[in-house]
Amino acid sequence: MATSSVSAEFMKGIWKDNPVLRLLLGLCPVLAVTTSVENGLGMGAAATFVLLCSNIVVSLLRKIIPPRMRIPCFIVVIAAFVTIVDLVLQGFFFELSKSLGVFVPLIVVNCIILGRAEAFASKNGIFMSMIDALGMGIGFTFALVAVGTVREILGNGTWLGFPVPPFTAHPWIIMILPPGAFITLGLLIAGMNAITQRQEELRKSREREARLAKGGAA
Amino acid sequence: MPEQEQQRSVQPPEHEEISEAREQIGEALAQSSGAATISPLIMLPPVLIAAVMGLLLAMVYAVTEEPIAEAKRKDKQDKLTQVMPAFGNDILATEQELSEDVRLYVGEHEGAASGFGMTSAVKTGYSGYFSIVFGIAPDGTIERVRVLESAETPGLGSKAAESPYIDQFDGKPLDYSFMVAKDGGEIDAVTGATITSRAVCSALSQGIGAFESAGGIKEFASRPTDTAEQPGATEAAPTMAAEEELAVAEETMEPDAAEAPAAEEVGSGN
Amino acid sequence: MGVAEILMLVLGAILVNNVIFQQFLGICPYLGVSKKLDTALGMGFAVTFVMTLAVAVTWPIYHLVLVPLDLGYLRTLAFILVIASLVQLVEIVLRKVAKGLFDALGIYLPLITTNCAILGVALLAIQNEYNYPVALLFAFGSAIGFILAIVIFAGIRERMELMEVPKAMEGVPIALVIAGIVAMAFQGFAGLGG
Repeated sequence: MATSSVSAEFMKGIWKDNPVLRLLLGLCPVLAVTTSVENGLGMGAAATFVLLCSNIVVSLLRKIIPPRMRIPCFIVVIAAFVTIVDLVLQGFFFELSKSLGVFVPLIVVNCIILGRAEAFASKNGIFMSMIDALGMGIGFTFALVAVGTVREILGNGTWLGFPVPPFTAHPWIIMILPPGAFITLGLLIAGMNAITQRQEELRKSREREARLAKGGAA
Repeated sequence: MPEQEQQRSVQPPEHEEISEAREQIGEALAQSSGAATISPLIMLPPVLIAAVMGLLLAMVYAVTEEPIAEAKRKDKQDKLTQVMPAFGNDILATEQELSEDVRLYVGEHEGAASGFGMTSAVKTGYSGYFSIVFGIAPDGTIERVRVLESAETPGLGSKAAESPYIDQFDGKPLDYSFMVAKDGGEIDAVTGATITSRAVCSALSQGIGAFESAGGIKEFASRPTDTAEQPGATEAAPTMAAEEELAVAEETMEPDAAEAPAAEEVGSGN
Repeated sequence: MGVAEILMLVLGAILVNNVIFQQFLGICPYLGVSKKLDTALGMGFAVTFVMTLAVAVTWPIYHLVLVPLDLGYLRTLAFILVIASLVQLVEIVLRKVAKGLFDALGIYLPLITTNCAILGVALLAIQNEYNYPVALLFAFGSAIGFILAIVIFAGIRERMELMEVPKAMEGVPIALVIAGIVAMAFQGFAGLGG
């Protein structure tokens, strides 16, 4: 049972409670850096690193931090790890750092990280906080790659730089521009909603059937 | 979920609910407001954590400081190599600041100036911060232009920074009127990206202007690695009328300037 | 710097490089904004105040304190703490001076701290190497652009009430698609002045 709850914690961040598509957090970077899948992956990796470190530290310190001042404490921890990622990117991944631009330091106000610190890491042990961070980070990256894929293929005719033949001829530049970002994300979230609603309906109708079957048998 | 939190409405009736998670953050933020006014001692934990984190950061900075400086140097070096005629010296060591936004680099090859590189930044105008790097051949023409830094998110604007549009500057003489067609000039702009095309022209003009004011090719070609303190070199007249300059530059061409590309025809658009 | 250039900078910040539709900063409060015009404006003014004040305070901290001490890398940490404090200040002031607005904004007031537009503009003012007066103008212009965007959206929200939207699109998805259409309109400003 312990294993299933660990994998459940991990998986929830990827699908059921996907931070971008379900919790509606961290929308700004998803819109801004997804002009290419490569940028999306870079941002996802950076944010996941910060999320992991901050969840661990917040979980470590959760008994010491006074409840009233918890947000300022979280912010300090997160800001420190964001700075570390920023410096490492500048020093060793210069081109990526320039592509992501101001959105690297802006990871500090990414509500996903602050949100997980508040909702989970401050109330759970280190190991589970790590799992939560990994799940949420991968979910974030998944959303980035999904939007990035649509925008890069339709808007540039490539995927991760590799040409995608049917689309290279006449790319829709609008997809690379802001409108493309907004509309793609909007439709993606709508798609997610539709899938979830369908699952809900299926679940409800199964429950109803089960109740009816029990009532009939009694 | 508690409805009241210090007399603050969780969800004011007119606001759309974005998501529970965000509201959670808002509530937590609300709790810390004014906390400092109650008891300054409550500031201690964040301050202590900040101090420890600060130490951690200082250590990371110590490790990354040099790689970052190196990455920046390399980037600039690569860009200058891209736009200038071939050179063999330590190009970054020749950096001169002609003005706050313009820098000059002198390329050398076999002991003589083989070309110049310049960076020019414009900060005002619609494009926000915009800077280019371009090379000048010894015969007084533009070698190549590339965008260095731009505040723009990629899109149409960046098309103006790519071939073929950015190539239309190659070979133009320094006294060319770098303006987009809309402003009366001859430079083609990318449809819908007039502003970026304008920014390129504006930065180019600014850079060339600073170069000429500091003495132009005459000044720097004769003493490649000295800072230009004294008045211009021995040959030709100190003032350069536009048409004269080309002729004079051709007269005094360095022997290995034969490597420099022939100037293309003025006015040939793309 | 001439008056014309200053004007272009401010106009650019408002329209051409609109903080929401071009730079993608401040999406979250934008999506949650009220459809009541006065509440939306109130939110806009609060953001304007915090944004301009944030740049007014963070710019000197960076250029006069951090840089001379070679502590430039601490700017993210310093800036976000300054912004958090400023928002707390604004909360205290609003609670006394404009209780109505304070109540109407609810938790969206402290959420201004996590508004990426504020930190974003403060960082951009440094990155673009503006001097102090220009930086302040840039902040002010960006904030005006923000107000413009949310006022437009507040107006659209009224109409949205009457729309029949597929259930999956309700809420944020339709708001994003509409933002995309408005962004398309703003693309037209790319040819401004010519």
